[in-house]
Order: sequence, then structure tokens, then C-alpha cells
Amino acid sequence: MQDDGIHKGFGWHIYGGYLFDINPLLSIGPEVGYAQPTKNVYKTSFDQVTLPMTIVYSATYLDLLAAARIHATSHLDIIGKFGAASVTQNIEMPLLGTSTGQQVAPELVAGLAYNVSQNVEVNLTYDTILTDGVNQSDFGKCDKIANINTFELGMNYYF
Amino acid sequence: MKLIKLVSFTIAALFAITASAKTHDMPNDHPYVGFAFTQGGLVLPTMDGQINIFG
Repeated sequence: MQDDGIHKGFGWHIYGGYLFDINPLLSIGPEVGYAQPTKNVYKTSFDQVTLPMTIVYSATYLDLLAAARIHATSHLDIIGKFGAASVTQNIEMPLLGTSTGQQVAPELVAGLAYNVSQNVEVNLTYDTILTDGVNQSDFGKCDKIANINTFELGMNYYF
Repeated sequence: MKLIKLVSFTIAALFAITASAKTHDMPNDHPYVGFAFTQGGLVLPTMDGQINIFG
């Protein structure tokens, strides 16, 4: 194994929800989303075979969250979310094909949002999904689901 | 269990802190949709040596 599983490119996350104003400073509500984080690509070669090959870890997840927002100022919100994510992880191996594993795990999100207008905001959040995790001895085993940590730069539209 | 206690405490604190707050200019009770680009992803180990992927 020659590489360390570099994240390739950007991932994406689409979501939708509903916020109820509990009081002038706090809104809460449900949110559902679907995401595809970046792939992790390992380049590999075997001693017996000089042909380089790759092992690719990828994942998608469907999440259901309870979202809370503190309206810190008229334009700035503090975001907190918690809930569950159903993570599907694929491992593409040379010669062995693709194997798939799945786990439902807790998810936590924290971040900030800036209201550009009454209907549009931009936000920056940190999202973590707490699966069982993968260590070196678990590498390549499809039933071991890796934690997912992402920074997200997003835009919301309020109807 | 610790996570549930932490989340419960956080929610209670949010209600308490915001109970007597000023108004904001967001619309009341609003549906929304969003899209985000993400960086980071699966947390996987660095693999420096040979591994047996067939095992």
C-alpha cells in the first residue's frame, strides 16, 4: 500500500426541513437530507505484481435530524442539529469487485448561518457521523463502517 | 446515555436562554431547502505497509 486514502474532490449534501419559531430567538424543526461525501482513493501495488491498482472507499447517507437555530443577530444564526444517519459504504477492490456495508449511527452538526436576504442564507457547518469506525485491522472489511466528518458550505432557500 | 443527557441539557439551555429575547426579522414557521458542497468524508487509517486484502 503506497497511499493514505486521499479525499478526492468535493462531496455534496441536499436537504430540506421546516422550522417553527419557538420564541423570537429560537427556531426548531425536523430536517431530512441525502449526502455523498468525497471518495477516499488508495493507490496500491503488490510485490508480486507491478501493476498499480486502487482501492476506493465511498459512501452515501440519508439523515433525519432535529435542527435548532439561535437567531444571534438579525442576520446571524447559530446552528445545532442532532439525529440519525443511515450510512451505506462501498469498497471497490482490485479483483474482488465492490462490497457494501450499512449502519445507522448518531449524527451531530454545528455551524453558523448568515441571512443574505429574507429568503436566502449561506451557512458553514461541521458534520460528524459516529459509526463504529475503521482502524488498520478493519481495512477492507465491508461490515466496518467508517466515521464521516465533513465541513459543509451551503445555501438555504426559505419559502 | 451521555449523548442523550448532553442533547437534553443543550435543548433545555436553549429554551432558557432564548425565552426573553428580542425579535428577529426571519419569517415565522418556514419550510426550506438547501444544498451544500462538502469537504472531508470517511475517516480511514493511513496505510503505510502491505495489507492482505484477500484475507
